[in-house]
Amino acid sequence: MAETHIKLTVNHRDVEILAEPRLLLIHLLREKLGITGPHIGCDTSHCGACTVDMNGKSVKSCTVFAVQASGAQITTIEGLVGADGSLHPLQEAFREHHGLQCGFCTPGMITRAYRLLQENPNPSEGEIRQGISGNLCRCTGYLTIVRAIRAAAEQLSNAREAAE
Amino acid sequence: MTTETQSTEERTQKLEGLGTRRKRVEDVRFTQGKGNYIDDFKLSGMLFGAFVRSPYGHARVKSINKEGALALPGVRAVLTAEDLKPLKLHWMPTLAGDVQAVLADEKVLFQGQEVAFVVAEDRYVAADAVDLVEVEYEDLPALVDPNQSMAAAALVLRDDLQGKTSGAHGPRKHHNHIFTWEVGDAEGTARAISDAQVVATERIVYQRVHPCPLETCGCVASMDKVNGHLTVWGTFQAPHAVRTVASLISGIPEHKIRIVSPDIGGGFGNKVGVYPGYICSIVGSIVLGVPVKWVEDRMENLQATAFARDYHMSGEIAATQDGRVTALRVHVLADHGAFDACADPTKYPAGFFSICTGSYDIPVAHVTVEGVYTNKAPGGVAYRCSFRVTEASYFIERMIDVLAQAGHGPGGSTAP
Amino acid sequence: MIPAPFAYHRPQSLQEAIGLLTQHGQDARVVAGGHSLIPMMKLRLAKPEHLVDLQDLGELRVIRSEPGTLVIGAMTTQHELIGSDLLAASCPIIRETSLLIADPQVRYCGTLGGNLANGDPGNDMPAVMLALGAIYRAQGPDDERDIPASEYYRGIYSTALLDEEILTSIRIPIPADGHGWAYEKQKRKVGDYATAAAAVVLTMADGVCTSAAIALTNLADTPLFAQHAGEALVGTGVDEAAIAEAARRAQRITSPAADVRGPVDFRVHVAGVMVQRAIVRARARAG
Repeated sequence: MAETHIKLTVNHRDVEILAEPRLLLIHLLREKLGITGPHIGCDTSHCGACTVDMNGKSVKSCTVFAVQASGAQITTIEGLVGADGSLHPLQEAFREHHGLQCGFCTPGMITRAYRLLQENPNPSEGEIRQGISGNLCRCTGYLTIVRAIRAAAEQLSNAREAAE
Repeated sequence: MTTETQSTEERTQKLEGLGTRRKRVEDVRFTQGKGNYIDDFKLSGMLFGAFVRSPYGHARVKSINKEGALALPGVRAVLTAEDLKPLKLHWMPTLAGDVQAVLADEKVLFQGQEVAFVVAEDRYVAADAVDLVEVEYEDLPALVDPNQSMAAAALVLRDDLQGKTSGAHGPRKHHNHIFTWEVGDAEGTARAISDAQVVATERIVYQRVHPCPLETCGCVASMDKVNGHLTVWGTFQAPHAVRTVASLISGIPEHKIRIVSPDIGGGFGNKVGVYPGYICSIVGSIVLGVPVKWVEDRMENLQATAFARDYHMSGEIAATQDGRVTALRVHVLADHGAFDACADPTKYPAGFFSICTGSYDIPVAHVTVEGVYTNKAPGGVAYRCSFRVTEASYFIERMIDVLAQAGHGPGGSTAP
Repeated sequence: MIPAPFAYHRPQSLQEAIGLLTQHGQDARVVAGGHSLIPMMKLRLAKPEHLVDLQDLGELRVIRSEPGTLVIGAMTTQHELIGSDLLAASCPIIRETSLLIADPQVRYCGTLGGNLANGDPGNDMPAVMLALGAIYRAQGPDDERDIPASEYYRGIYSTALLDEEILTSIRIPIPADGHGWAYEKQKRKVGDYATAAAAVVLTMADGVCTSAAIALTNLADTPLFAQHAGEALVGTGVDEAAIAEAARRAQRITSPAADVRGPVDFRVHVAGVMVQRAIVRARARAG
């Protein structure tokens, strides 16, 4: 079918592109824009490896057509890194607390955790587990992921208090 | 990352010696989404491959019509067994000494088996082209119960093995038989069991499971025809094995083949074996002169790549009245699917299953493992590096429990 | 994994959307949150030639109350339902059910209308709407009509909605102050569809049940309203015997499929357990 014009913002950069309506957002990011942080881990919208932050929501980019995202603001894992190259507290916490092994689920996991901490800056362990229930990991067994998110929450909370 | 140079004293102090906590070096890139997994690779001119797969578990392939697929703009090739035959590439050796069809040769033997390989300019065109390949099948009854594999009237699965009375691991006694492996003292064990005061028996099915790493299997093959060099990047847990097989089937000498395992999204044994996707990508690159990428989707991974376990174990454990074990005997039926693509890197067809006496003081034991063919995906693998140790561990602990529940436990006569 | 090609439309008004459905008939499908339809398209089980995206129809995204009635726009997401103070105060069973649907990402996109409209027996909200006595408002090219939830579901993926109609809002009689409520769902893991689930809405006065509505999810081709089961509670103190009788009556109307979630008798058994647990919790919450 005829290609459509799509305009959106990805990691603070404006993007304009022509694409088929059926192009999935994950493929727009990975194939057309070279943003390969979000990954594809399943065919059935379960695993969450493709999670991005779109208009302030955690979204599985494999279940959205790129055309639907026209006009949207999208942040991927790459966009969580500071302009000066510094890592987001979540990225630091995952390194510190061994919240990853193969790293394949990690971009989606951290991107989801980022929005989770916006929704709930002080989540309990149970709330973290429920909060990441759309992101599967085949390596860690989740314990260290939960620890890393908890640590990042504390870090962010301390930083907020220090700023006040 | 700091670029300051530190003095020797500073470095020594910082290293702190044994027990120092260190962060992993790869986490820097993984937490930023800067890993190099196989589907992240893009090479100039790269094409994308995708498989036409059999919906049937057992069928004859009557005809394959590629015309519709080839006519689709962006499709560069459609390979079938017929195309691979002149190069003798339509079958490949497995790590277990069997052979596996790269593309179905007149017959399909498991649901999801590779029948044709489409190469196109991008994965969307490839997906459309897969739908346009017309395959005519003659559906045959499928054999899925390994307990029926060696029945007298059992279907013939492997037409290619007709008349072959021996395989890589010894003599074959039936057309669906792969191997029989025996370890231990058959006579001594039989005697101990028949003399025993107590014998407990149990049938244990350790069902087929799938390692299911979050990243599926894939590769990028790039043949440099000018210099005669083949480079293959891929999800390879055993790159040296891939190089050997690639050399065997392509005729390119090993020193002209470079196999690269970049970042991998989990393997757990699923990525040890050599898959038709790797071979077809290599052939595609040789034929078309450009890099060819193949990355399977999740359903393909679960349907067609190597499984783990699928051991049907019958155990007998003998003991004295006061719980001293005197013998252990086990017969295992191992369901290897349509091709024995077992990826246990040991010389034994059942890995290290012989550790099934566990940590117990058992004076005599006997193990028989029989591998059989069924209409299922080929394999199995050492899931989480187990080499059948998981099956053996589960077996012995379960047998001890069964013995204890029969009223006789090690070291005492009452169950805890 | 890759959908078949289609033409994409993003109407800016309800009229425009309905016009597209009328023009393209069976070749067109609406997409709301997309998390039921797009997975089907990726498997090529659904191949609409025209996709009509409803995301810009702001008028369909609303939660408000009118005298005696809650009105929820069909494009309201599960996330918005969960965050609504109005619903938390006046109809909390909705929030409890939303939290049991899928996972956080899906809930950001998935809509109430999407969960109700297509007749998927696995969806959770239909049973809740049956228990609440909800009415669906549908807009067609010529008129608007109200369809009670109890008359909406005909079979698997078969509903009373016509091809050119769009579900615009759901109208729920505001449950009585102090009503008891619960949605109890058994599933294999977080995010799964129900092995069996039950919605219960009841009212008590002086220790006696004055009304009870029980409805079931994924236990037949359609959601089930267990009329007779609810009657087993009315006039009783919702004691053990009444609860057991209600569960038995509910089980009798189920006809679940044997599937990966279990054989038929297991699912019927779980249905009974879900009904019992839901009644107990609803009773405890009743003021």
